[in-house]
Amino acid sequence: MNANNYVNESLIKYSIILGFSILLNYFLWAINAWQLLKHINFIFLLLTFLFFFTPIKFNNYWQLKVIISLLLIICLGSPTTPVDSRVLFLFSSKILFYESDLYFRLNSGNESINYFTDIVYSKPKLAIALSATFSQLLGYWNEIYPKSTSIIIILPPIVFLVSFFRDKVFVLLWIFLMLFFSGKYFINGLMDGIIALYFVASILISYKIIDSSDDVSKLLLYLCLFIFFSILSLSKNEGGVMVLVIFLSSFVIDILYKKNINLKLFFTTFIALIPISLWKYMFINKNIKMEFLQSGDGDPLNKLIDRITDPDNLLNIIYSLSVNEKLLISVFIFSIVAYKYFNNSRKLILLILFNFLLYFSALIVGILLTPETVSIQLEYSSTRIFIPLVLMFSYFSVFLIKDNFSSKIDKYVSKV
Amino acid sequence: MRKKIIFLLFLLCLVKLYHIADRRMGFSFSLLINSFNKNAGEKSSLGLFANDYISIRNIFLDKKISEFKISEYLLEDCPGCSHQIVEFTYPILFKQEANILIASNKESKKINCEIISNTKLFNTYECK
Repeated sequence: MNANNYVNESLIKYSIILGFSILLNYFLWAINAWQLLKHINFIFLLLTFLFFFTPIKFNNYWQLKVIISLLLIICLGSPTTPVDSRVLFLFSSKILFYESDLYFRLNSGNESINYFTDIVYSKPKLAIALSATFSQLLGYWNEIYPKSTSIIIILPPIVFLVSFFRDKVFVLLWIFLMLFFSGKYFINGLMDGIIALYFVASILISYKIIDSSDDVSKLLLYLCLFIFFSILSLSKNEGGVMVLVIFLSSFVIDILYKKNINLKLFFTTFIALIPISLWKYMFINKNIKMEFLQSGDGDPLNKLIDRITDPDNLLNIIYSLSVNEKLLISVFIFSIVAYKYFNNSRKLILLILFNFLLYFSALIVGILLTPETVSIQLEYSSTRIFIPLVLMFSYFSVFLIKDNFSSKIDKYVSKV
Repeated sequence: MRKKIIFLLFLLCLVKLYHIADRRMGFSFSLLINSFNKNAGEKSSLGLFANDYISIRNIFLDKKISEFKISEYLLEDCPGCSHQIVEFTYPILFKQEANILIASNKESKKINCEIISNTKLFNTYECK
């Protein structure tokens, strides 16, 4: 194996096992399984998580172990103050902790629950369910430790992403960029950092599937993709959009390069989207308003056209993009790297650009359809909604440098 | 040279973590030590009106109150406060037909209601 194709398979397997346990926790909540089963699964999950930090394996990654441990310590030593993380994460999780029923809103006409808008209750519940299981295992609630389960959730994509770097310089460069651009979003109880990591990891898997010719390694990648797609779509509404964006981008690349349709990828995406589709269907079936499209007055299409033709809205969006320094820096870095290595890594760069264009367009449409005014929506969320794109550009900048740098070393070694 | 780069990058990661902890997240060692204690982090997480919310919750627990309502004035005047009261006092339920009322102390005294506790910002009434 040359340096260009380096992959640490044991890290990928670890990532799959951890990811599967996270998904299984949600599944146990979804089928209203006995609490004992949830607890057993959580203990297994916790032990798997802790295994990463033992000196038994992965000793080459001790810096990553230190950084993840420090993130956990910061998470446990920080108050939960952002309004969105309190309402969307902590409060939803607290309700699950007390009610022990994922379908509490659907089964109850409780006014206490109705006080908050149904946009809150219909949000995907994977991360919340994990936090609720942890609290039920401990038997009490507080304002701090429940959000620490975010660290367990971010570990599978981080481990997966570093598994393609043999050189520690690239591992640390990527970890630094990740912390620099979005460090607090992994630990403050918001889902944005979590879905950003799964988004980037899923793009990498889809690229490896498109690029690889080895069927055995592809099987592992499909399994990983299924788990990551499921977690992505069940963590936040944007996650479902991301899954579709990645699938469509991969579909286009397949058509361009192989002139065929990857049915396995289609099937994996389809199966992974079933749980979130069922969740949303239950709310639609009970006629509970839950999304941008259903809230507010009038036809969403008219709203979109009205807002898109209003120069004030467009100026607001352009202004918020122009002051989003994280997005600008990451785009700048990626542009330079992509320009330099375009000939060698055309397929990957095109895949990234398709993902960018589709997800960026989806975000702009989302901003224009918000029940609030466009300027208020931008004020609240213009930085964090772009974090997935920022991390995508950062990771693939490092990945492209690694790929091309390794190729040079391989050529040099073969000459010698 | 390579080792120096690795060391530098690791150092940068640690500096960034320090920045996140100190400037972005309001990290404190006492919170860390108590992070698994019951009621940990309530004051620091609930913001400016933390003492008021904690007093209301404690009154509910002392008097074994299971349901409460919030005055229309408070719901409109301070939706954020109402949110936090509902969220923080859960599993004590917010029901508009309950006989325990939380109102702002800017509001005039409620008819047929008796004050059972008051905080800096809120009055808690028991209504007939």
